[in-house]
Formats: sequence, C-alpha cells, structure tokens
Amino acid sequence: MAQVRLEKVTKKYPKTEAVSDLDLIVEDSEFMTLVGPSGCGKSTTLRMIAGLEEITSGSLYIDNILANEIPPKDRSISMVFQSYALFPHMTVSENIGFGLKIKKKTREYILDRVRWAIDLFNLEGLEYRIPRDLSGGERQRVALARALVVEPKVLLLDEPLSNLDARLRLKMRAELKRIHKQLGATIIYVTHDQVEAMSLSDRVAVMNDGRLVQVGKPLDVYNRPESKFVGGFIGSPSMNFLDGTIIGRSNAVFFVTKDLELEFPKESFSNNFGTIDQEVVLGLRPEHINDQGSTKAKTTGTTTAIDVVVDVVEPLGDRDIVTVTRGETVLTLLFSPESGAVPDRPMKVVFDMSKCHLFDKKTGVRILKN
Amino acid sequence: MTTKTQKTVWLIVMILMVAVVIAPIFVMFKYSISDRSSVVTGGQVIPLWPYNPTLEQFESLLAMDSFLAATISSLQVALLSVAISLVIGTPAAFALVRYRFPGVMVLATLLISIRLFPNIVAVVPVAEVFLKLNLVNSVIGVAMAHSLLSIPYVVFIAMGVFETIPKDLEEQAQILGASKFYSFTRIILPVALPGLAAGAIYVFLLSWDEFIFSYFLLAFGDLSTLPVLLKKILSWTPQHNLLAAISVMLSIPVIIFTFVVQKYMQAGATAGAVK
Repeated sequence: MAQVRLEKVTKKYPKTEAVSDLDLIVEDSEFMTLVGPSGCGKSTTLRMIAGLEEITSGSLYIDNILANEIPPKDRSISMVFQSYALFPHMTVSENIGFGLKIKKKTREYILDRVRWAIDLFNLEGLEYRIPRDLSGGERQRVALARALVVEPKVLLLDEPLSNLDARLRLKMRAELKRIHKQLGATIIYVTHDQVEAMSLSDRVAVMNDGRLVQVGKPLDVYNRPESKFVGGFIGSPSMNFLDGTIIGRSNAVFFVTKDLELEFPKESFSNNFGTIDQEVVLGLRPEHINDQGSTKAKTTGTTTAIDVVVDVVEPLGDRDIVTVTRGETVLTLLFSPESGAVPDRPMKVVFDMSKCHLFDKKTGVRILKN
Repeated sequence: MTTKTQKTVWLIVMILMVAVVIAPIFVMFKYSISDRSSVVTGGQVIPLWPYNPTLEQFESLLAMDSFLAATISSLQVALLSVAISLVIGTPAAFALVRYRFPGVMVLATLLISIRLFPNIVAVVPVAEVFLKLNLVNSVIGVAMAHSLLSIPYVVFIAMGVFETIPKDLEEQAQILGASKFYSFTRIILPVALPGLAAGAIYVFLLSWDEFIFSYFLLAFGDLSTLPVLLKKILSWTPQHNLLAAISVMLSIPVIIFTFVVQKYMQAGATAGAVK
C-alpha cells in the first residue's frame, strides 16, 4: 500500500481546464473520497492517477515515485469503473484472474488468489457464470474482486455504487468499509453523493469547478465548511442560507434580513468576525433550527422564538423534513416526529445561533473563525 | 377500423408478402426437379408440380467437371475474400473509431468511394491494374477484387460494432496490464465477434454472386467462378430445368453459410459488461 501525492496537477483540454493546480496527499491506507457536483473534475483527477488521462502539468507521486509518465499497468493501481467493465465473454473466475494471467503468474497462484477473492466477496457458486447472468450487486462484487486480486498499492473507485438500487447501495457501502478495514488498502473513491462520502471516508476532498475547495475529516468538513459551496454541498438536507447584514445594537449583535432578526450569542461574537454593517450570508443546518417545545431548543440558550408558517412536512420515520416560510424566506428544518408540525399552521422555532456559519457575500469564503 | 378487421388486413398483407418472396424460390426449386415433359409441354399449361420429380439435372451437373471446378473456385474466392476483408477492414474500423484524428470522416468517405461508381465503370481501371500486376486468371486476384468491393462495407459494419463496445472495457484491460494488441485480440474481438459475423456473411454473399469483376478478371482463362460458368452455360441456351438446378446449387452454400455464422449473431452479446 502506498501514499499518493498530487502537486499542482492540472488537466487542460483544448477548450476547458478540467482540473486546476490540485494539491492533495492521500496517505497510506487512507480512504479518501473526492466529492463534488458532476463536471467538477473529480473523475478526471482519478483517471489521471490511473494513467488513463495525461497530466498537462504538475506531478503525481505514487509511493514516492514520480508517476506522470508511467503507463497504467506499471503503476500498481487498480480501478473499478462506474460501469464495472466486466469482460462479457469471460466467466466470473476468468474475469477475476485476468490481471494475474496477463502478469504471467503460475496457474496454481492464480487459482489460489481467485479463490481468495471469491471467498472475500461471497461469490461462491458463481465462478462459471458470465456477467450477463449476474445481478447488479454480484457484478459489482466481481469488479471489486478483479481489482483487488492483483494486490494493488492503490485502489481507485469511480462512482462504483451509483448503478445499484438504494438497498443494495447501503449494503455495498458497508461491504466497502469492511474490505477497507480488512485489507488496509489505500482507496481513492469518487462520488457525487455526499452521503457516501461522509459515511465511507477517512477524509473527504471537496472539489468544485476543477479546484479543490476543502479537505478534511468528514465531520470537520461538515461542522466547519470553509466556503458557502462546501456548506451547501455537504449535508442532507442542505444548509439554509440567508442573505443579510450584521448590525450592532445596544451592546448586542444581530443578523438582520428583511424577514428576520437574529441575535448572536455573546461568546461567538467576541471571537471576532468581520465588521459591523457588513453584508454576509448566514448558513444554518436544518437540525440547528428547532421547534420551541423540543428539548434541543431548550439547551441552546437562545430564547427568542421566531414565528414561521409550516409549508410542507416530509416524514422520514425517525424525523421529519419540514419546510417553513416567513415572508419570502424559505427554511428547511429537521424535526422529530413529535414536533406536531402541520402544513399551513403557524409555529415557533428557535435558531441555534452558536452553530451558525457566516460567509462573505461576494466570495463565499467563511468569515466566522469559530 | 376495429382490431379484428385490422388483424385480418395485416394477415392478408403478410400472406401476400410471403407469397412474393416464396414464389420465385418455389418456381426455381420446382424447375430444378422437373423432368423434361414437365418443362417442354408442347402448349399445355405447365403443371404446378412436376409429373415425375427427378434429380437427374443435379446428377448431370455433379458429373460436369467444369461445374465442380467452378464451385471449388467460387468457394475459394469467397472464403479468401472474407479473410482478406476482415483482416484489413476490422483493424481499420477500430482505428477509425478509437483514434479520432482530423479528417477521419473524409477518410471513411474515401474508403467507400469505389462503391459510388457503378461496378461496370469501376471494373475497367481495376482490371487494367490487375492485368499489369499479373493478377488475372487467379483465385487470389478475384478475391482481391472482391475484397476491394467489400472492405468499405466491412469497415462500416465493424465501426458500428466497435462503437457499441464501451471504452471502459479496454481501459480496464489496460489497467490490469494488457497491451493494446492483447486487449484488442482478447477483449474487443471476442466481444465484437457477433457483429463481425454479420460482416463476414455480407462479404461471402457479395463474393459468391459477384459477376462483373469476376468476369473481367477471368475472361481469358480456364478458371471460372459459378456466376461466370452460369454465363458460359447460358450461351448454349440450355433447358430451364438445368438452369434452375444451377441456381439451386448456387443458393445452397449461401444458406449453409448464413446458418453457420448466424449462431454468433445472437443479440445482446455485450450484455452484462456495463450497466
């Protein structure tokens, strides 16, 4: 297993720049996820690491060896494609053993390794099937087995779960996590699904427009987004954003919009943020706005309740996604099912301002230093 | 119109269409097994089924040395044409699909340009060149001429086939350590086989009943392909039943070849590769 290091990696196409000045270190045995909206350059980055795309400028090191010019087969990497790319005319065993056969391993060794992979992925009984006769989940496992059987230093996964149905996706997610724990492989995983990114990775790298915007442990990225983009992209349902102004008034600081006036708790203000009268975007996650009666609301310390009107309630079982309005402002909230939110009825909510994020209105960069 | 009358109309149209297709084949077959009195009826209506069905036309054909020689030549030419056009056309098609370079469409159009001319026009320069290269009166010469005609089709059919094969398969093979050549021969070709089989059938049929090029290239020698021999026999104005028997013999290899290769033409050969 190995470290992967990208230094100022750039990929230019004749008309566009897909990846710009990417600096990223994926540590040995780390599960790193590249996440971002489609077209952000994450797949291109993965394909450059695989050697399927040339690097326009910058350096790629795999296991401390400059790999820019090394052909894919000599990079000690494996890749699982979104489409699985199983060879349709070969059986499961032949598919899994393909890489070893090319590397001219002995017949005994190949049989041994294929058996190992078949055990690892619970593929017993399917050895002589061809891909056409496999279910989606089985194809997925064969693709993973084929990638791992060659003992790669780095395993690259390009949206491997996106073709599976929801139930299977959860199962394979757990499976991937188990494999990672069991083998300690360095894994670079590409997805546009931030839930996958959060739940699987040791660290996530959020990309947007060909640039790396934030790298960190999933919870750190979740709790402290460095930009409005990251705040909005990570977390489901999405963070609420409010455009407004910071106003100082009678020894207190408020965030004021057309429809709302919210007071900052003293301690967060004392930690300094921008200037008074600055125009900012305030971000607050759905779970940090609670109905007045809930225990969560009572522990936040904020007492001012705000009147809102419930618009839509989407019950998820363990909690409800509630959309409320106040004037022109629309907020998405997460309530417990006991909240008693009913469409078109007014209710009182409490904003936990100690959990808020402030972003520069123009650049979207984080202001609050908490 | 109700569904029932609709169905009836469809049925009638279908029966008519089948009749149009089957009738000439039936007539050909009937003549080939007719005895002389069922053909030369002296003014009587020709019977729907021969009075005394007989295989004597076939027997006399099979006893004819020139017929056997022509059959063998035709088979040799057709199979050689299939081999030449696939060996040249398939890699060409793959290159045209996978390595998109400027002017690729111009190249593809040029490839098919020989077919823009009527065969009778195209044959003159071809015969001229082949004569200079001493490629007339030989199986290889005719096969090369037929390949000239069929390569554009093979290229276009194979391009269509390769376009349906996802690039992921090659890239996956490449990552697992396969060279370009290895992944072409071990991954791409086997997956493409059913589609290429269609191309092979096409080339075989084209070569088997091609007349103009064969005739020009074989005009002054002893070698004949079946269509050329048929032309030679026609010049003695033989009986209808003998001609019909030759026609049947011409059709048989086509039918056999189609059935043999059709096995590979099942749909959905790439199913399970991606998705």
